[in-house]
Parts: sequence; structure tokens; C-alpha cells
Amino acid sequence: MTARSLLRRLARALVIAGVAAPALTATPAGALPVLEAADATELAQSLAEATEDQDVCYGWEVTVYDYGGSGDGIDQGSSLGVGKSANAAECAQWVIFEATITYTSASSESEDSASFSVGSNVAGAPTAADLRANGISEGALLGNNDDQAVANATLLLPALMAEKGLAEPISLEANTQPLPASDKATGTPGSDWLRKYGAAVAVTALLFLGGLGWAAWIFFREHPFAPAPVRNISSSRRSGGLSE
Amino acid sequence: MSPKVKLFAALGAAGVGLVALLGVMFGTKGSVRSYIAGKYQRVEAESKGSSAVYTSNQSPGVVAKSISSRWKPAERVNDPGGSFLRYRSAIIAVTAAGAGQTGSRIYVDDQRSGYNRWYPYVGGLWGTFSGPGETFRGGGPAAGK
Repeated sequence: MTARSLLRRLARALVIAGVAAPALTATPAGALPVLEAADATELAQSLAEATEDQDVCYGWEVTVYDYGGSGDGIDQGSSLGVGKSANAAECAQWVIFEATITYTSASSESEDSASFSVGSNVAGAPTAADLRANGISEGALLGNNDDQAVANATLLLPALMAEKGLAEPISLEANTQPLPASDKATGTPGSDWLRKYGAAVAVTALLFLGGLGWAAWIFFREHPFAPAPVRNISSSRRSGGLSE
Repeated sequence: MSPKVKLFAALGAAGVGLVALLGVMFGTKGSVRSYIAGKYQRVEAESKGSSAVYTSNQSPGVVAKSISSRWKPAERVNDPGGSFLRYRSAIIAVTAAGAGQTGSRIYVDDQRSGYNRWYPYVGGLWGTFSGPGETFRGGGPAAGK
């Protein structure tokens, strides 16, 4: 990727930001498209740049079944453009992220589901397992950020191709220009330590508190240190046959 | 089981839980930054150490996987050129080494520097962007079902 492509990417991002505004407010959320037009254009252009560097076409093809009523269909795009498959005559080599998302109706007892795979005509191309190993999951395709999940999975393909020695690696290019005054990182993530050890803390705290609660219950309900009940000696004597 | 035995069993469970809890709270240390510093070779450092660049002879995918499996990122963005991992303490970018080189380069920055450095890639996703529509739309019709 060259400095020219970096500038192109920045300019495109600005254009997309402007284009996306009316789209975001005018289009109600539905099953399709999975990616908004501006996001799909951005993704296709990023893939086109990867194709320029690697001579491999990349694409996405997401089949949506929506039994909730907003209609079934396919959201696809590639290095060749939005709505175009990478499996085309122009592409000697192609790799496509393929996913199926099924939204059940509200009255259905079945859960929504998703699956994904990688289609390619390149021997040894990345697989779904490679994507999964890099954090792509079926659950993400059903979440609120399903579009990001599709983009993340598709954009991972060129890097995986390079990793497998099937294409040239592509480098990121750092921005060296100062940012506009209004632009800065927001939404600082939660504690890294808790993300790593949170489950262990929860389990051990549960064991500690559970043990204490159980002990308290036994202490107050079963009185383990109460004096032993006194035997009724007179009745015992009577039953033993002793008499005065 | 007598009440006394049950009481001692409960107190034993609580004791084990307390010891384990204290062990987790005070026996675990480190951060994604220290993990990277200990595993990869540093080649550059700036801003009094808040930014640093490391190298590895492993591929970017392997490095990103290694880091994210050891320290799970809060967010991740992929690009044909590499991966961005976002933590509270750092923004980490893993990309291929330069032309003609094998392996990868790992950039570690704080939030501000990382967002600035990788603005063309994460701009609008992890912060404000000049213009509206800075995030992907998100959400299927039955999201959260």
C-alpha cells in the first residue's frame, strides 16, 4: 500500500462519512443489506487495494433468511465492486467469505443461527477454522455489529493468504498528519485485567461467598454448637424397671 | 452428616474460595504491554515509552493471535494490511514487516497516539471522525434474540 492509497483511503472515508449520514437515518434496520451502501463501498475498495497488491480477488457473500418478514436475500460484494462476486472471469484467483444468517420469526421456538465458510479456487486457501482462530465467530454474525463481523472476516482473508505464503504480505501505513481538532479516541474499553481474570474472580468469589452463606445457614438453622439434649433420667429409670 | 461436619465443610469451601480469590487478585500481574515487551524484540520507543515498536519473525496473523489469546482485546479490527487490537491500556497494530522482509511489526501506543497513528483504519470505529456516519450500521432484525 502506498502513500497515495493512504490518502485515497482517508479521502474515501470522509466521503463515506458524508454519504452514510442520510443512509443511516433514512434506512430502517432490516435483515438486508447487512452492510450499508457506504460501508459496502468502503469494504469493496479496501479489497480492491488488496487485490492490486496480491493479484487475488476477495469478496463476501452473506445469505440471509429472515422469517421475521423483512425478506430473504444475498448481500455480496468483492474487489470488483459492491454486488459483484469475486468468482468472475476477471479473477484468476479468488477467495470469498461466505456466511448464512437465519433470523427466525418471533413466534418460532427456534433460535436465530449463523454459519460461515470460505470459498476459493486457490489450493490451500484460508478456511473457516483460520477465521475462527482469529476471533471470527458465528455469534458475532448474529449480534448488533454483524456488519463489522462480515467486514472483519473478509478483510482478514488477504492477511491469511499472505500468512500461508499464497500472496504477498501487505503492510499498514501509519498516519503522520495531525488529526482534526474534533477527532479523538472515545469509549475507552473496560479493564484489561478484568477481561482476562474476570471469570476466575467470579468463580472464586462465588465459592467464598457461597461457603460463607452455607456456613451461616448451618450455624443459625442447625445450631451445631448447641448443648446436647438432656436425657430424661426419670423416664429412663422407669423404662429400666428401677423403682423406689 | 452432623451439623458440625457440615459447618466445617462450608467454612472449608469458603476458605478455599478466599485463598483462591486472594491468589487471583494479588498473584496475577502484568499487562498486554508487558507481555509484548517480554516476548518480542523492541526496535523503537518514543513518548517516554508510551509508544513502542517491536518485531517478530512470525507472521502478523500468528502474532495477533498470540497476543489476543493471551490478553483478550476489547475490540478488534482487521485490514488486509494487518490487525488492530484495542485495550484499555493500549492500541496495538500488527502488520507485515517492510518490503522484502519476513515477519511482522507490532506497534504499541496509548489511546491517543494509537488513534492518531491508525486514524485511516480505525477512525470512526474507535473514536470521532470528521463527519457523521462514523460507525457501521449493525444489528439484524432479531438481534439479541
